[in-house]
Amino acid sequence: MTAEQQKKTYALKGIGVSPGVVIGKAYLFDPLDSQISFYRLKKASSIPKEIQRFKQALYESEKQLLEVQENLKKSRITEPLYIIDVHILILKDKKFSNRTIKYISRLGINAEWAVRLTLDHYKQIFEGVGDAYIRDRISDVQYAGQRILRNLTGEKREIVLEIGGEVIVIAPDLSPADTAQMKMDKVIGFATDIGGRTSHTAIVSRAMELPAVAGLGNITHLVKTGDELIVDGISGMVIVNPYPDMIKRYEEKKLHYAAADDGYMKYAKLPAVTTDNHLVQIGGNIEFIEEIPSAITHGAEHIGLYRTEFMYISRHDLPSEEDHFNNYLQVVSAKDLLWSTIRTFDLGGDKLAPDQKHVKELNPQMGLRAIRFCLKEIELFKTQLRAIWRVGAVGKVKILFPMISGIEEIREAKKLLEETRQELLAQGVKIAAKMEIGAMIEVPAAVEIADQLAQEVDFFSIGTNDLTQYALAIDRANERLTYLYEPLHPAILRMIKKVVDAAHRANIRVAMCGEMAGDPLYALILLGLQLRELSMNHLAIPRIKRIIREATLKESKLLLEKALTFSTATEVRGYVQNYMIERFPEEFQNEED
Amino acid sequence: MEIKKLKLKNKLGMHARAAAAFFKVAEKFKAEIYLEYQGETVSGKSILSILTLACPYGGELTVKADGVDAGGAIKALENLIENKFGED
Repeated sequence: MTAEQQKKTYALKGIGVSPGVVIGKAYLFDPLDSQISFYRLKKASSIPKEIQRFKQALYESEKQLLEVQENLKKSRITEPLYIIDVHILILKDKKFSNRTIKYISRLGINAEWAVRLTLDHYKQIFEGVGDAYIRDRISDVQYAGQRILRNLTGEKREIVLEIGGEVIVIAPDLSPADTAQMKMDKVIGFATDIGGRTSHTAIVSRAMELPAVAGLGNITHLVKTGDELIVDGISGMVIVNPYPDMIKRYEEKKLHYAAADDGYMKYAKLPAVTTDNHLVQIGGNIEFIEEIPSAITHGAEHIGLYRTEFMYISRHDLPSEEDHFNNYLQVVSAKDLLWSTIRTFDLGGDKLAPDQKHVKELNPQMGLRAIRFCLKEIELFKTQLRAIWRVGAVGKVKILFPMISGIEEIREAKKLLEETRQELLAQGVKIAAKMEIGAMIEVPAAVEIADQLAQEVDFFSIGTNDLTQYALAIDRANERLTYLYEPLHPAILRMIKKVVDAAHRANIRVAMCGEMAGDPLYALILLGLQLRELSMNHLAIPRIKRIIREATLKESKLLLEKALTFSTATEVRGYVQNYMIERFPEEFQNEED
Repeated sequence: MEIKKLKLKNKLGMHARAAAAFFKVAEKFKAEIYLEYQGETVSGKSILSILTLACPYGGELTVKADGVDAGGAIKALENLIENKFGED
C-alpha cells in the first residue's frame, strides 16, 4: 500500500470491558478453529482407536492446562487461575467425555466431529439457563472443547506472538489459557468479536490493566494484522485506521485516563464554582454517542462539542437526514445534560467515502474543509442542518460552525440555516422554535474580527488546538515542530483575551473547547480570562472542577495579568507552572522538572 | 442414602468457582453424590451438571450421597456450603 492510498477510517461499536485507551497495531489471533476436518469413520473397527485418540487429546489438554496454571501461579496474575481450574474440570467431566465417546461409537464419526456435537449439546443447555453469568459460562465449555480439538488436529499448542513491537490482540474471544501462552509484555490491548463484561477477555484484561473492548461482532474479519487501531475501553469503541487528528485526541484521552484518580470522582457532580462565587459551566467533548454516559458520570453538565465527522466517515455513502436525526436524538435524549452543541462537518472531502468526488490536497489542514467544504457541498450541509432543526424540537441543541475565517462564511451558513427552517416549516415538520448558533474561533483572522463576528452569532467557541497551530504557523503533525506548539505563547493568550473581551462587549457567550480547557495547568489562566464555559475531554472534568473549586477569580485575574506582562512563552510557562505547583502542591507534585 | 437440605449463602450462588470447589470435594468420596434444585437432580461429580443447575444465592439445594462414605461426604459438602465456598 502506498501513501497515496489512504486507508479507510471507520469505527466499530462494542462493549468496553476494561477501561483505558490504547493506540497501536493490530495482531489477529487465530484460534485455529477453521482448519478442523470432520468425517465419518470408514469402518466400525476404527471406533476403539478413535475413542483412544479422543482420550489421548483429553489427557494432553489437561496436562497443558496444568502447565499453564503452574506458570501463572509464578506470575502476579491470580484471577484467571480458577477459570483454568474450571476448564480442567470440564476436561475431566465424565458426562462430557462419555457423551463424546457415545457420539463416536454410535454415529461412527471422528473425534473432532463428536467433540463438536458435544459442544453443541452443551450450548443448547446453557442457552436455556436464566442466569446470564451461568449462560456465559458456555465459553468455558467451548475453550475446553477448542483445546481438545487443537490437540486432536495435532496443531502446535504454543501460540506465541512472534512479532516485533507491541500489539493489540484481535480474536473471536480469548481464554486465560490463550493469553497465558502469549508474550503478554507485548500485548497492550484486546478487541474481540464476542463476550461481555463477565467474559474471560474482560477478566484477563482487567487483571492485566489493559484496555479491552469485547462484543464487536466481526472485528476479526474486518481488521488485519498490522492495521492501526485505537481501542477505547471506556466508551467501547474501536477505531480502525484513525487519521492523525484523531490519534492526537486519543493520545490526550490516554493521558487524562492515566492522570484520573478515583479520588477526584467526588468532585464530578459538584459545580465548578470558585470560592468567590464565580461559576464556570463544564461540558464534555464527544465524538461518539457511546461516550455520553461516561461524560455524565465524570461531571459533564452539557456537551460542549459533539464532533459529527464519524457520521460521515464510518460508512460507504453519505448519511441521510434520518441518519443524522436518529443519531442526534440519542444525544439530546441523554438525561442530565443542559444542552448539546453539535458542530457541523469539520473535515474535507478526502475523508468521505472513496466514491465521493474529491481532490487530493497538499495541505488539507488549510484546504477545502469544514465550513468551506460545507458551503460548496450545499446539499450535504443542508441535510445535516435539517436534522439539527428537527432534533431541536425534542431537546436543547446549539449549532457550531467550524473554521470560520470571515463574516461572509457565517452569513452564508446562516442563510442556509434559514432556508432549511423555511423548507421544514413549509413541510409542516416540527422543529426548534429558535436555534442558537456559534462560530468556532480557530483561525487567526476570526480573532481579529471577533467584534464583528459577535454581531452575527449567539456564542463563540474557541478551538485552541487549531488556533495555536494556525497562529504560530506550525503543522501539528510535524514532529520537528512540537517544541513550538505552546498554548501559553503570549500571542495565543492575547488572542484568547481578545476573543473573550469582544464576546463580553457584545454580550454573547464564549466557551473554550480545545485541549487547553482540560489541562489543569491552565485552569486558573482560563478562569482569569473569564471564560464561562469550558468543554473538555470528560476524563479531565473532575480534576478541573476540583481546582476551580479551590481557586478564586481574584487570584486568577492577578495570575493572568502577570502572565500577560511576559514577552516569551518560556517565561509565561515558568511563571504559571511555579504558581500552580505552589498553589496546588498535591495536584502538580509530579510535574516539577 | 444420606440427604441434607442446604441454602446457598455465598452472594454469587453456584457460580464457576463454587462449582469447581464443590466438585473437588465431591470427587474425594467413593459415594455417588447428587444435587437437587427445584425438582431437578444432577450428578455432583460433573462440573457441567452442577453449573447448569444454576442454583442462585439463597437457593435451596438438596445434597444426596449414596455409598460407603456417604456420611463423610455430606458433612464435607455441608461444611463447604456453610462456609460460602471460602468466598465473600
